[in-house]
Amino acid sequence: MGNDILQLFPLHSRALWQQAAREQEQIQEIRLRAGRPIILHMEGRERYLTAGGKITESFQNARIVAEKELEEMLEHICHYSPYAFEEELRRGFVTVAGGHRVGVAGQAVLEADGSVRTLKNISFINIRVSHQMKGAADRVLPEIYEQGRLKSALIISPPGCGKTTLLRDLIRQVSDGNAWGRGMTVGVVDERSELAGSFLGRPQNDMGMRTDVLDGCPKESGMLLLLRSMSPQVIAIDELGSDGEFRALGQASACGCRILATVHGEDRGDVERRFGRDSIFWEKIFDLFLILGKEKGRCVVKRMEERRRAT
Amino acid sequence: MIRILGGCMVFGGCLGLGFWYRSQLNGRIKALRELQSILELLAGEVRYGRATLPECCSHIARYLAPPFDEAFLRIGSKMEENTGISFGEVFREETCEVLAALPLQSQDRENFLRFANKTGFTEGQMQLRTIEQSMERLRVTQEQQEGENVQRCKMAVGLGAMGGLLLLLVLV
Repeated sequence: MGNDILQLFPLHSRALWQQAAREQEQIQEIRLRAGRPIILHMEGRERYLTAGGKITESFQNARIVAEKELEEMLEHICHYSPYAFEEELRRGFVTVAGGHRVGVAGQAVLEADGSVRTLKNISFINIRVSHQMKGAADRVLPEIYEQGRLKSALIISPPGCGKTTLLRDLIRQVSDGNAWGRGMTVGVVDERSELAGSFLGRPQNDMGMRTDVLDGCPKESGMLLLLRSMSPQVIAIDELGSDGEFRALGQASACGCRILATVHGEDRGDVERRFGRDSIFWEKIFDLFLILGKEKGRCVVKRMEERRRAT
Repeated sequence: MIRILGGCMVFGGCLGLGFWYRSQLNGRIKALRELQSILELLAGEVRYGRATLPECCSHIARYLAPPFDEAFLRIGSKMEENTGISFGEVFREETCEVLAALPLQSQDRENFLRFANKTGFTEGQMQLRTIEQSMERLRVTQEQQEGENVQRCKMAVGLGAMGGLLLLLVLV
């Protein structure tokens, strides 16, 4: 990945960001707010960027961001054509080369029906630095295959416990093939560009050699589209939510596709309660449930539960 | 004999100067039309393709005649390199030489380059408007030129010939 966050900034600001770019691997987020100090989230702690471009722990020395700088930066990120990123700006983020996500906030311009038309006077930018963790799925691979056959798996996790990271690596390893099973064709519906981090339709993260990515498409229609067009053996989606998505998932499963999906929740009971569907629904689709959580501040796979066998 | 030959050469030179000036006047109109058609292609890419300005430049390069085709390809690839230089600067830098070789006035060049410095619109319509404004200015200049062109061309050739004759009289 190198120091590609430097490319997010226009030429005249690049000198300031040299050190931060060198330490990119340690940076999770960069927070820029008009009239406020530059905050870097590194290894779970807040640090600040000084006017000289040094990273410091003291906010007194932090550099204050001017509104004009944010405007220039956004313009640069959008290739001097923010109009071409209208849909992304409406959603509140732009995915850039390298798979980093630039979230924006400012003043919303509304349509007559109250929906967001676009954002103007952008005064807040949050750069989420992309880190692909290859090998994150190593521990679950032996459980996810049964005699070389991939099981459909649902990853259940509270926010921030690494479900997307785990799913991304699972996709890569299932696609490329591994010690437990042969490579399979994987179709990924990446509605929020978080899995593949696509930029202009090209995945910036390694998603494996047999993976087709449908970027920026709603999950429900995307799953059906992939089923028709790419004949995937496995369909992968992040953050299941709506009824339509569940229906499409059922359809994909009925077509013989294996499913890899994630959902927000503490455990199976929590997911069943939140989505108002009983356990039979989940067990028709999924063979394995991976429950993530934090132990001693670290994200871990807490439990792996098999589908309950019919008696 | 040498005198007659010299006189013919002086007269021919002056007349040639008149013809050259006429070709410059016609060339300016042609160049103004060409610049408008480039902007029209750009506007089409923004309107229908919703492409970014650097992408637009790369796309339209294939429809342009030399030397604009190469200049526009260079703009696209330079922007893709992401050196941090703004689109406006790259556009100006790459088209500067090409424009300088055309029989245009500095105001024409500025009218063409005007849109490249006005970027950053979140609305596609606004970006289109800036391109259309550049086109409009070029069109007005072109129409003015066309209106006066017949007379100016006649005058250029006539002045060349008369200048030649005057020089001959002075020299003889």
